[in-house]
Amino acid sequence: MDAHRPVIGADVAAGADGGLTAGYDLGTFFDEMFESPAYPRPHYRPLAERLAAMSADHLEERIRVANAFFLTQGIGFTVYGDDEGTDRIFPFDLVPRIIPAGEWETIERGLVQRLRSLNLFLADIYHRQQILEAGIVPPELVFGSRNFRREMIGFDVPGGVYAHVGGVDLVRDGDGRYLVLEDNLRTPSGVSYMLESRQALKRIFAALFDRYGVRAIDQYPRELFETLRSVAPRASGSEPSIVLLTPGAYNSAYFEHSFLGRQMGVEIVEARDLVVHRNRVFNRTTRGMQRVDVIYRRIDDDFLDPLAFRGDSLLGVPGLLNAYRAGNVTLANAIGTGVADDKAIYPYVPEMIRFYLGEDAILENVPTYHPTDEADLAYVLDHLEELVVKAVDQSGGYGMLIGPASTAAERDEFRHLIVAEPRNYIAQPTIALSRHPTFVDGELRGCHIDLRPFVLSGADATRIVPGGLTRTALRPGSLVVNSSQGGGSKDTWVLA
Amino acid sequence: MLSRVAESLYWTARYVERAEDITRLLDVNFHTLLDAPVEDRGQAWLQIVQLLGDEELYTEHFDEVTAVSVSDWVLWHDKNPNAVVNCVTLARENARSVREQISGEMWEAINNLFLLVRGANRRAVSRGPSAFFEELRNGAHLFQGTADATMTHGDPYEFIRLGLQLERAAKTVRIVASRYPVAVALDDDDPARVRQLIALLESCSAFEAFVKRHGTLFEPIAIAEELIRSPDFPRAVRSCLSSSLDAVSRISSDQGAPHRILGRLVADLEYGEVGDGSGRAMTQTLHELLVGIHAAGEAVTKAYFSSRAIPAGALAMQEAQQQQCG
Repeated sequence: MDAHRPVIGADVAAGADGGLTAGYDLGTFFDEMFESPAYPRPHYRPLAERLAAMSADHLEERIRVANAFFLTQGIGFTVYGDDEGTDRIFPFDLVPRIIPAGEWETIERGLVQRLRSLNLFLADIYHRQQILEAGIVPPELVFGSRNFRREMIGFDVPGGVYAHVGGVDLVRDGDGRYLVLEDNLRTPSGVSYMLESRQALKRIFAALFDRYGVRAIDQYPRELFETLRSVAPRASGSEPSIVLLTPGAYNSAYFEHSFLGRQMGVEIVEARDLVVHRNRVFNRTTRGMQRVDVIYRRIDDDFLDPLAFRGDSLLGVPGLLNAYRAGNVTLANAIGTGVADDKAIYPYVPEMIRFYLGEDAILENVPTYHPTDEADLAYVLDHLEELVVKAVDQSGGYGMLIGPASTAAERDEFRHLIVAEPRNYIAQPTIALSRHPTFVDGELRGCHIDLRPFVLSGADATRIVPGGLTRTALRPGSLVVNSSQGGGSKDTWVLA
Repeated sequence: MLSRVAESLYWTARYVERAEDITRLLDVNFHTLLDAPVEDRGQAWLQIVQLLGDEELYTEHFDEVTAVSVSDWVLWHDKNPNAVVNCVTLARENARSVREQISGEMWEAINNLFLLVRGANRRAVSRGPSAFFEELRNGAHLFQGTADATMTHGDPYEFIRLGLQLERAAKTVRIVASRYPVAVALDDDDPARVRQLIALLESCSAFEAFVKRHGTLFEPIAIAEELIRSPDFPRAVRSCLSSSLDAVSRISSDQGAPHRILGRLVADLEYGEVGDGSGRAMTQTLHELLVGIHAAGEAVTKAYFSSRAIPAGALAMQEAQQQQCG
């Protein structure tokens, strides 16, 4: 890249004639691309120059190319409660997000540290429960969690790993600090959008991509496969039979399941394809029953086994829990990981890291108030207008109150909900999420973004592909980036 | 391979072939009737409904038999499980659930077929524009062609071939059963006789193939021989069942029920004869064939597909609920 070329702000930002960066408004937020209206940050300069030299028509044309690519690939994302929603194109923004090597190095260390502790925490609470004895995490938060699974107590999971695939949502505040917003340790999705966005961007910005020296991410499916292989039951030999268990074609993330299955070369199975016989799991095939060793499952705990959990589940495999506990099959992620990504447990992660690893957390949390604490409750009820309130057992942007954008009626509703069930909620100050230039309605606008890197924890190693899924709000001012709430994705370039 | 996947591929192919066959029948009827006296036309449309085997259901929804009502029924009606629009939708649904098993080109072909049918101007199409029929046939052929050209010829491919060939065999039998007795019942010098025989050939895309081999005399017995016992005409029953037998042999080497039933049918067609050519004898022969093909289909289901039956609606709801923060 030619960062040595002197860049004069006026060529690039506000004031340049015709280019896309002309008139771009930074607002009062931390802008990922621009330090100030005239000056792009050093690692963004080549991109900013490219954009300054482009017209909206030019970019629109490239978007058409990208959309045609996505349409033929059939990339979709189902939105619940919307009949026409199946097979919608996942909104995708062409302007890549760029992370310098040094910045990524810190994030990566922080992620490894965090996932190690979370896995140790899970092993601990399902065995000796030392962290509870030490009074660091209140026991009622653990045992009161909907996602704590008694069935896992005393069971040694293969390789000692619980959360094989973790998605950690990171945001940057007004000063550009990376903060952890939440952990996703059950069945985090979105990795296929990360991979497909890259495919599209490589076509669209080939020359720029090449100049930048962006680190590759397409090894993800191979690394996932290695991770799954590393936790196979001991008896299964060197080539364990691995399957991906999907709820089926109507699931919002089915595209991803099918994508990963194809990329890894593993069978994609539904529950009705599996049968448990004498605590062993088999595939029903046209040549009879075939043994299964590792199940990468994309179904919630509740639905996995109708004999053990929800009896009305049609998506589950009767007897699966027993086969798992007998050590004949590995489930990834393990059952009961949801207790560690519970929003009520989240505030304790930094202390967890200190307790298990004796280290300070590299990635900080967003400050959090617990309504179970009396002082916090009083504060939360008094400051609803400034806070974001989240139901602890919901995800995907559902069950949230965003104070500054809320109506008095909504705040009243949440006030009642919080008082009635304080354990079910947490509150956080509204973070001024960083913004990134995004192409909306024919021009570049600052839209809020987050980052979800995917952390693979195997028995042998922790693997992280550089970057992750950058999600961007596409509605002006919106702080919600979830794809189920009208968000889109950006390609994330980690520089070598 | 997974039983469920095999079943979905098999049905994808069957439904695509079914949609194509129905479309061809309609197209031929529209054409043939242009030359027929107006008073014969109602009968000709009734024949289509009878041929497709759902006359009873039809009469529940329509009082009369006209080109428009029959087209509406076989192309679009939501109460007709075999309507073209439902066949194409089911084919796509089946393909969608096994997307990773088929090639990208095949998915594109089936998806475009679906978009074509969904986006069609129904009123215009019901009046019989050949352009739509042609597009639909091309779309179906594209799917079948890409299956052949872009997919590894392993087990998944063989299940597609099996579905297609069994469906095609059954359709040819039904077409001959419906049109042949009507034609031979007419006097030798009645111009409608030749018209019916030609319509029979065209309904099986066999006109050119037949004329090349037999000239333009249109001997009924020769036509029946060609459509039923030809080893090389791709829509002849024998040829379709031979392909089915070949697919089954590739799927499993053991001589299970599908193998035995298909083998017997093929041997009968190879060494037997179609009878004396009278309408009655033909009807009997064809009836036995249809029973045999049906038994082969059941045997395939039992041997390869047996899986747990789950109510589809409830399953779809639970499937949709699973997620984490996408």
